[in-house]
Formats: sequence, C-alpha cells, structure tokens
Amino acid sequence: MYTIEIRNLCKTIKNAVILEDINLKLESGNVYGFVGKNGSGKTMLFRSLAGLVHPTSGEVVINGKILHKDIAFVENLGLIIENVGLYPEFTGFKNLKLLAKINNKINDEQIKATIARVGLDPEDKRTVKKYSLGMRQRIVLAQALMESPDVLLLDEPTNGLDEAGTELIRSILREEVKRGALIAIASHDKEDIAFLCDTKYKMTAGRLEEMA
Amino acid sequence: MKKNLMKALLAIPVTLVHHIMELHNYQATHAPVAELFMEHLFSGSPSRTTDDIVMNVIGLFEILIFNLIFGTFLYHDLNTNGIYAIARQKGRHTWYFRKVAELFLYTVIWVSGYLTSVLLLSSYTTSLSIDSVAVTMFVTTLIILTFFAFVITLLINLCAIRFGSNFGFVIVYLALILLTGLAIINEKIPFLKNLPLLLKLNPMANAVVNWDLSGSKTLFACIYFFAFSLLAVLIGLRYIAKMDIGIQDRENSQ
Ligand SMILES: Nc1ncnc2c1ncn2[C@@H]1O[C@H](COP(=O)(O)OP(=O)(O)O)[C@@H](O)[C@H]1O
Ligand SMILES: [Mg+2]
Repeated sequence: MYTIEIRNLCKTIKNAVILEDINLKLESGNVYGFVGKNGSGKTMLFRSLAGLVHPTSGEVVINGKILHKDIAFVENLGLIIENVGLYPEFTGFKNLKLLAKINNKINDEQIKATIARVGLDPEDKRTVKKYSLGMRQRIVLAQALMESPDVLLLDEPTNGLDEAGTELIRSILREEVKRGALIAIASHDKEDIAFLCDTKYKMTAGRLEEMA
Repeated sequence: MKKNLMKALLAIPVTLVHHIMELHNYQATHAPVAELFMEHLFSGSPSRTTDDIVMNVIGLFEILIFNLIFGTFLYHDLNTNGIYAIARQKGRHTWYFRKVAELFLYTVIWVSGYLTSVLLLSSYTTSLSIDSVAVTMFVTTLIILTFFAFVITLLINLCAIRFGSNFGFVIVYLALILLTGLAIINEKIPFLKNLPLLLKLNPMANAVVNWDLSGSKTLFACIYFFAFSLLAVLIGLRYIAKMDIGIQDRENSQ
C-alpha cells in the first residue's frame, strides 16, 4: 500500500512560478489523471514527484517519508518523463538490461516478456536510434513496467502512439492497477485521461483543481 | 562500458599519431630513456621562456583529447536517458560515486596507454634500455597526469551540468589558458616572482612535470592533484545533491 502526499508544493524557477501551492493525496489501486495545456506544469509536477526536482517550498511525502530528506527517490517506481528516451546507440533489450542491472530484481526472460507485452520484438537487433516514434514510446513504457513497480508515473505515455498503441497501453494499465499499482498519468489529451482515470485533475498555469 | 573502454584505449593510437613525426625525424641516440621520455611528453626544454612554456603545455595534447571524449560523461546521464537509471538508485550519491569511479578508471587507462606509448617510443629511439630512473619517472608522471586529467575532466562535466554542455569545455579551458598565462608572466613580473606560492599552486605548473624533476616537486604535485581531485569530487557531490535533474537544457535555451 503506497500513499503519496503532496503538501503545499511550490516550484519557482528564476522568478517564474511553475507550480503553485499544490496539495494532493494519491493512493495505491487508483489511477489519477492530470490534464492541462502544454506548459501548464504537468511535467514539472511529475519531476517533483519522482524526486528529480527540489521543491522551492512544500514537500512530497511517500509512505510517511519526506522526499529529499528521508529518501532520495520513490522506491519501486516506474517512470516516464516526456521526451526522455533511452540510449539511442543500444538495442531496446540492451537498454532495459542496463537499467534492470541496477537493482537486479528481474532476469532476462522477464525483460523480454515485458518487451513483448508492449508489442515489440524482444529479439529486435536494431538500435533504438532506428526505432519509429511509436516504438520508442513503447520501449520507454516497457522500461517503466518491467520491474512491476508499486508506483507508475507516466508523463504523456501515449505520445507518438497510433490508435492500436494507445489501446494497448490502456489495457496494460488496467492490468497494472488490478495488480495494485498506484498510477498517475499526465496528458494534454483529455480522452486518454477520461478512459483510464478514476480521479482527474486539471492543471492551469501551475495550479491544480479536481475535475468532476 | 565496453564502448567507453574502447574510447579510453584510443589513447594509444592518438599518442602514436601525435608523435609519429618526431619518431620519423629522430636520429638514434645514446640518451637515457628518461630524458627522451620527458622530451617526447612535453616537447620542450625544461626552461621557462614563453616559448618553452607554450610548447610544454601543448605537450598535454593527449589530455585535451581525453577531455573532449569524456567531457560529457556525467552530464550526458543527467540530462537524458540516464534519468531512468538515476531514479532507480538509492540516492543521487550512489549514481555519482559510480560515475566518478568509472571516470577515474577510464582516466587511468587513458593516461597509462598514453605514457606507455611514449615510453616505448623513447626506448625505441635510443640504444640505451629502460632503467630504474625511467621507470620512476614513468610512475610519477602517471600519477600526476592521471589526477590532472581526472580533475579537469570532472570539472568540465560539472561545468557542463551547471552551465550547459557547450560551456563545460570552454570554461575550463579558458581557465587553463589563463593559468598558463599566469605561469608565463610569473617569470617576468618581479612582484609575482616574489610570491612563489602562486606558481606552486598553479595547476599547469604542477602538470608540466619536466619543469622541475627534483623529487620534492613531483611529490608535491602528486599530493596537490590528489587534494584537488578530492575537493572537486566533494564539490560535485554537493552540487548534484542540490540540483534539479533534467531541466538544465531548457534553462540555457531560455
Ligand atoms: N528549465 C526550465 N526553466 C524555466 N522554466 C521552465 C523550465 N522547464 C519548464 N519550464 C516552464 O515551466 C512551465 C511548465 O512546464 P511543463 O511542466 O513542461 O509543462 P507541461 O508538461 O504541462 O507541458 C512552462 O511554463 C515552462 O516554460
Ligand atoms: Mg509535459
């Protein structure tokens, strides 16, 4: 059971307010959606949740532990950050293997199964550089899913995907939430969020409000 | 890992190409290997006229190539793909220390490849064989240049992380050129000459080993660069702990 609490989170960069007084509580077994225009602060919020960005004020608390104080990163996190891809000069499998080695929780077979799960060929010998946009998005998703994380933070997970890809992600995420994961999705596409999420938030210029 | 290892081993061909002309022009001599070793390394005399200082510093060419190849070794991870690796760690320091250790390993490989090539070239051009003086000189130079190359490369990476990938190399090399200039005028301006510590603490003066081959100077240079490296590692650690990961590029383009 995971709880993520955001308390009075503010982020300012060079006098520009990027996130303004965000308060939020997220729990396992739910899918949370964040919609908002480009530049409204979704990616910054996700970076803050992942521990990559320090809040200017306020805090992120994960299972009672304060981020940047008690812990550095969310444990068992599956992460996608918008426009952050994998090493282009390696194959998809090699990329995932490098990441999996850090915590040694899964073996090669499990990595390959995840690659197949997102609709790619685990034996594909091409480097990620040669992947199409949709394939890149899928391999990044595989990276986030492969270790059965407790928390999935997915920033624009359907970017560059066709309809079949979007449908596949939706069915995968339904399975993940059944498994008990806490899922947060950011998207500029309302439809993505509408299909998947139990609780929806709208971001406008760094402010968050719950949607009906 | 394997790719970086190959890159570090590039030191050997780079050195051979750099020194091939000298080798070609070289007449077989009876000079001691140690003397030739220094001559090949710094391609100048141990005196400190402006020309000599410039020639001596240009002798550090192989270190420059290393800086170019590994100047974004840490930066690269922090700004792109590596985010997924970092978020899987226990802490930022785990990532940082591993990267720093890897960088140090590649520096050792690079400088070893570089100096071994020069040593072999030197022994090739003389009828005398490698003696204990040459070996001592080799080891001392290896220590000094390894720490020198390491600390410079680390600083380039940290500047790249702080100021943007294009700036890391430029900032550090501007500083090195400035320090070389300082070493040059040090001999000419009486006021500076009266401040011997200034030259003693100048990294360029410590990196150019043949300026003073007495044991105390080289020992000082070893300790100096070790302390310098330790300081740079700690500054980096502190900066990495406090920084926001992955938003640098945006900051610079704005
Ligand atoms: N490194 C940065 N420096 C300054 N401002 C930034 C930086 N990164 C993002 N921003 C600003 O923060 C705001 C939110 O950006 P972002 O979180 O990427 O929005 P979204 O993901 O909703 O499109 C934007 O106004 C953007 O210009
Ligand atoms: Mg975004």
